Amino acid sequence: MLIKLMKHEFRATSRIILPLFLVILVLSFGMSFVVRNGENVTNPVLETLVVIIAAAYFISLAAVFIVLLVLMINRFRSNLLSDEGYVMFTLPVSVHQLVWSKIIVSCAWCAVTIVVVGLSGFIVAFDLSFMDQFRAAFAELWQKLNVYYALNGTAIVIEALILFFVAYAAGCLEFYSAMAVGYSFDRRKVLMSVVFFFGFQFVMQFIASVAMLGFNLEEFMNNLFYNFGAMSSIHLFFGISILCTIIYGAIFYVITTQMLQKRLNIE
Amino acid sequence: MTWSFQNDTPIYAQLIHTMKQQIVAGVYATGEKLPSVRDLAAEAGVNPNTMQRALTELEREGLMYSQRTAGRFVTEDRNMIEAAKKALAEEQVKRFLTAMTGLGYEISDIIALLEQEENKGDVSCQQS
Amino acid sequence: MSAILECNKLSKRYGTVEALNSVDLTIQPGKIVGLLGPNGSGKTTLIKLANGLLTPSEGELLIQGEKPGRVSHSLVSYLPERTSIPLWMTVDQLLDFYSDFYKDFQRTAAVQMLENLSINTKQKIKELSKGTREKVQLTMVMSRKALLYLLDEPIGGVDPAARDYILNTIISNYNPDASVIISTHLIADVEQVLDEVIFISKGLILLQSTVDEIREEKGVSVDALFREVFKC
Repeated sequence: MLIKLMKHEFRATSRIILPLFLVILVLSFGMSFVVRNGENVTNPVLETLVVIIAAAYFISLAAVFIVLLVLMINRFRSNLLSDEGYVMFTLPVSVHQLVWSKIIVSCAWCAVTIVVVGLSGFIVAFDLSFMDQFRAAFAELWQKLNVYYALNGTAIVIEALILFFVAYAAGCLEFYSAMAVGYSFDRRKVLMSVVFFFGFQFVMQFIASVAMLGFNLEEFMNNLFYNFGAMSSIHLFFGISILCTIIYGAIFYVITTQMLQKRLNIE
Repeated sequence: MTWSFQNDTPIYAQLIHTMKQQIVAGVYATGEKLPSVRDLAAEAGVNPNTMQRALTELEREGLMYSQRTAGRFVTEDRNMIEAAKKALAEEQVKRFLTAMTGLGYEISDIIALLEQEENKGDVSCQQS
Repeated sequence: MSAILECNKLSKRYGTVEALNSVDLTIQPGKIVGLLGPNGSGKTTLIKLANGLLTPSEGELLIQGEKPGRVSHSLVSYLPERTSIPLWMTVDQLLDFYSDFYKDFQRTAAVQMLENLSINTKQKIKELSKGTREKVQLTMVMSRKALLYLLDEPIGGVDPAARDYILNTIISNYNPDASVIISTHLIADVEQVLDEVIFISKGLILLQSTVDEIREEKGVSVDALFREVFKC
């Protein structure tokens, strides 16, 4: 059933975000032309066109991230907390499956967005000399890391990716839980959601700062390096970060699912 | 689409009445197979359970019979239908008489009125 | 036969407002039941509780002996008070949606019903009129072979032709193992399709009886009795 929920969630979201990806890729080709020939253009009409393309390109890049955020928030709100909720919450699925389908699809779009933006950068900069230099520098750095510091670069990249997506999912859940609480009120649902979002932020930062009181990251890392060696301590650092983020997300997950199960209040 | 009903008597009783009229009038011919309960209910716009109850009653009275697999049929006994027709007619007459006596007419006056009506023309008589 | 829906001392409060007050109720299979009461009497609250959209304050509500949840959702077909199908979908996508989630969804029957209503399934639901959207959702709800149909105000605010269509759909989908609960305040319109009626007022069940019993014993229609009971 989770797969089916995700299928329809993809259907609902792809109609908005896919056209935007297409726009970015088309503009990338335009931008690619601008980067290569922009300085040689003398015709005033073409000059204006160059400016417009460049502006549109950067706006589209910014827009895709905004759409990603808005879509994440709005799908949860419109699909679960407004009229459509009558249909969604009476499907033979659990509340957990509903929430997970939203998280997974949002994470998936985030990943696709990163790939599309990367691809767009590649289109724009392909074959340019600075790109080659950049690539060479990166390869060198990679090799040095692996050889001199005996780091496993691949493992670190994987760990960083896991951390990124766990953090993204936890971020989604923070928005979801604020809305799940805000929409349980009879009136001023949106306002209450915003209030609870900042409330949660404040509480979590307060807890974190209390927990970090007397905690010195540099000292901690030095201790780790000293006790476990460079490689292990970086893995450990990632491990602890991932764990903390999971706990952070889990708190909001519990709030979200409990509110949806016990205090659902669709108009 | 739906049949109309009076407010003061049970719907199944009204269904029985209407079905009888339809059989007598030949809407459903002697020995004809009747539509399913669900279709009849849909036609009348009533609950299938109510229609079922009416049909069971009509079966009990002998105006219909059902065969286990083939369905439900109007009786082939013409005498039975004739008797039902007579009963309906008597009921109409009684109702008419009650209304007329309520207006203060004597039976003889009523007969005179009916004859007068008949002489007015053939049209109205043929219709009734 | 075991009850399809059962309420035991079911109460629901919103803050201090008592929407349902210790309701005991049993619905048997094969019945079309009218849940009748003025606005704000607790009809929608009861139906929402049966769909797990609300949690009881006290007591319990069971569907086939189980609390509302994934299992009951697969047995119950629910028409909410408000049209709530996703507007961005085309009718075809909505058919996909119902086929995917409900094993008992009869897609061919639904397509046939939509055709009878001359609704183009390629069209987006957003582009349909309010009345047509209602009919589309009703088609989805009635095209399931469910055990219990919960129809919340299905005939409120529709034109007479649509009302006849709705009642006809309910009758022709009748199944002796299933039950239908129709909540409404427009009794005259539904009276003839009902087996039983439940009068509800201020969160209390005032009466549960068959339509024939009311007409036979009191010699009045349910509508007339309703007007008498709820006289202002």
